[in-house]
Amino acid sequence: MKNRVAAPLVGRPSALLLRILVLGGGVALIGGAAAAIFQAPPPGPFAEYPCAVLAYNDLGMHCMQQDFSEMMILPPFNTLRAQVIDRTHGSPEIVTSDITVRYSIPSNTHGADKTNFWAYAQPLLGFPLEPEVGLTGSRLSGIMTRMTPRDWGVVGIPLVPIDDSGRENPYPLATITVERDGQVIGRTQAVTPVSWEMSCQLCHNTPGISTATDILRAHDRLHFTNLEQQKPVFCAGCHMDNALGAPGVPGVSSMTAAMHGAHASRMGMIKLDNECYACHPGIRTQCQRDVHAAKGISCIECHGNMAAVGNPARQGWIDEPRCADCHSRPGFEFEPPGVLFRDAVGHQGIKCIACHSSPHAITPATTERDNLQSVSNQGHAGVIDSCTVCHITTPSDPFPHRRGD
Amino acid sequence: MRTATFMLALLGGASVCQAQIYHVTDLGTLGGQSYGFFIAESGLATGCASVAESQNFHAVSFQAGVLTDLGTVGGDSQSVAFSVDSAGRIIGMSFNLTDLRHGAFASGPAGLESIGDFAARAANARGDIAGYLNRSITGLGLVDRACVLLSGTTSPIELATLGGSNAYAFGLNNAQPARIVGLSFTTADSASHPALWIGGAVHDLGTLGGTRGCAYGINTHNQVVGTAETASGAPHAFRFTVDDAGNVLSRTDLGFLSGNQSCAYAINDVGQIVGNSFARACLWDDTGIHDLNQLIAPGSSWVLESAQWITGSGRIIGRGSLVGVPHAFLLTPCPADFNYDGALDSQDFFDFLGVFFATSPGADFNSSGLVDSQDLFDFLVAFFTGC
Repeated sequence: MKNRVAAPLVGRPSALLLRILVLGGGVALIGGAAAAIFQAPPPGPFAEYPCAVLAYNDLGMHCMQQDFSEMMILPPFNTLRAQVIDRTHGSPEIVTSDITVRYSIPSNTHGADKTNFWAYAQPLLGFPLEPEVGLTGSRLSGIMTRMTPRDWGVVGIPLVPIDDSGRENPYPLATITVERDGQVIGRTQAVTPVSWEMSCQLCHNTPGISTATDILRAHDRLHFTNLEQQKPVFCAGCHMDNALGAPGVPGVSSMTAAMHGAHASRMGMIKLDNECYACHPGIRTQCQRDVHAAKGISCIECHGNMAAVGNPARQGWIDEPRCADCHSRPGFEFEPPGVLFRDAVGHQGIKCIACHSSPHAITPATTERDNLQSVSNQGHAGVIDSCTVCHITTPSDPFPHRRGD
Repeated sequence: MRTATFMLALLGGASVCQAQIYHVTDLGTLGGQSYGFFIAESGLATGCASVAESQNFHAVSFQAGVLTDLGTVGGDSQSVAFSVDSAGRIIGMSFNLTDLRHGAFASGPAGLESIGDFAARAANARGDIAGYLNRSITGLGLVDRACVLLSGTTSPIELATLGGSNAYAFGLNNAQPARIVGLSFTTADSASHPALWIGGAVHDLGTLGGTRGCAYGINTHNQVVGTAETASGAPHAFRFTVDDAGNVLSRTDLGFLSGNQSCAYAINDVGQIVGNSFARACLWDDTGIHDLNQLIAPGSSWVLESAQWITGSGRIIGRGSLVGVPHAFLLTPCPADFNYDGALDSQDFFDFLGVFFATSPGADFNSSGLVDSQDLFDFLVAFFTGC
């Protein structure tokens, strides 16, 4: 009985209606002022709103721990950002003021009953944290703030990968609603990925002790520390971590160098098709789910092998793969030097990530929900390439994929 | 004669002993983790467990000490068993992480069988199943809506929201029509409130002063439990009592053990409530809130983190941490320690007599549905045998 066919595109005009609308558009171009009336609206559930909203997660997957009673590598901490484009004018405008941008994750409205993170926040962080409140003060629903001159966002949503129903869900769908003067003027949905599938137990499995104790005991043995007696331990308290903005202790290797460097030579102990999934989520989660994964491109083909990622000279979360490392096309431009894909701005202030989707979920993704925003805005999965998602009419000028065009 | 014997023993102190209140049973794993969600009065329990190699979660049943992998449905990689219906069928949902579409299943002679394209979350003794389904709606996109599959039917009925986009049903009782509880977003999706559905009507149960809340369980006395924010935004377990028209008669903040946080998942017909507070499984009864970790044998390797369900006879299922690994647990009570103070003594006798002569539902010691002399005799037997 289970229907595996993609959800119907409610509101999508029929082929006949599309032809009528396109023909009407042609008339409208001649007619000038009446153009907006006859143009084909973008297909999909959000076509009726005056603003297009393109939302994205900054990482494509946030991994966190399941148990914080002994140590903390990563807390719950998701980030959502969105660009709002007013499409009612002849030339679309990025909206940066006088709107309210709300976010919520309907299937996941509370989290403090699903994890022991808050119970150990005080000993781990040195200060108490109110249940349901993340490290930056964000909650599971609320209002986004202006992040840059061009987009809105919320940082540090304390999301865990368990729905309110109790089932695991590493790809919960966030709803982003834009209001002006109390009226909804735009809406979208975007995956807010989170997983705690870190399979340390594949190797750290000494009988009679927990995985975390096994890890801390190994650290004590190899590095002459006394962590087992200091539980719970915040790893970034010593190991500098750009992901958390933790400065670490001078002279101690960064988190990424320590983790990747220490384990690079040991991965042969386990037999996984993708060794990255021993620690990054994961064997069942398969967080690398984007168009590259669909084409059989593995993690290390972009990131390099573990030894390369663990190179002490590499800056974690800053020195990341770049599109132009592989992609080249005459006339095309990609991220400028020193700017990550997630922060890069392309077409008229629209961020690359807004049309291409999040890292590790670049459309068309292998996961249905990661394609939803594209499908909802233009009727098909893949990069948002339908001009009428934002423009009233298809511009006569081509978009040459150069920054600033 | 029985009473006279008891009084003599009591005066002599023969039965007074320190006792653990609950015996804890590890329900096992499939090589990874396990979670317990429900236990029927028959002793059949349900949940999910991860398979060692694939790490996929499969629905499992636990009965008489045996953990059984129920597999998945239709090529799905994941499944979770949440309940048992009136016919003894195990109910739950099956899905893939890649599309997260919902498929409801029921166990049958040939294994798990699909019963519809919705997420089955709870079943009642009448055979109704509550849950939620996906819908694509113009202007809203892909949304979830609470639904109920009525006994004997094959198509779930979508339930109304409180004006918002999404709603979920997580529990229901045995009334006709069933009282169904869950959460619904309100108009403009500005809040998410505990919701009650009776027939085709939805009722906003409100919160404890905040903007968010969720109802998980309801008993036959229309007592609803869940978690809701207080005015300060702290999530507290609650018990709301409603009437048959869906009006809220009382709202009780159940408090917390520590950390200004708690959540209640289930309530039985004698009013015992289970849930968690700051990562500790807990029980609420007439005497207040109890940390279940304090009611098992000292020195245990367990950390009981969340209690998910409690039967009428007081058996509790949930999830805990056993040497750092999530394991499903079953707690079997010492029913004669009537006041849950950890000591089997004369106070239990007097507390029992108090509710017995008040003919309170709590005196239905043998869960027969009646408060009668047999309850008294059964209590005495349990008391003198030390649980």
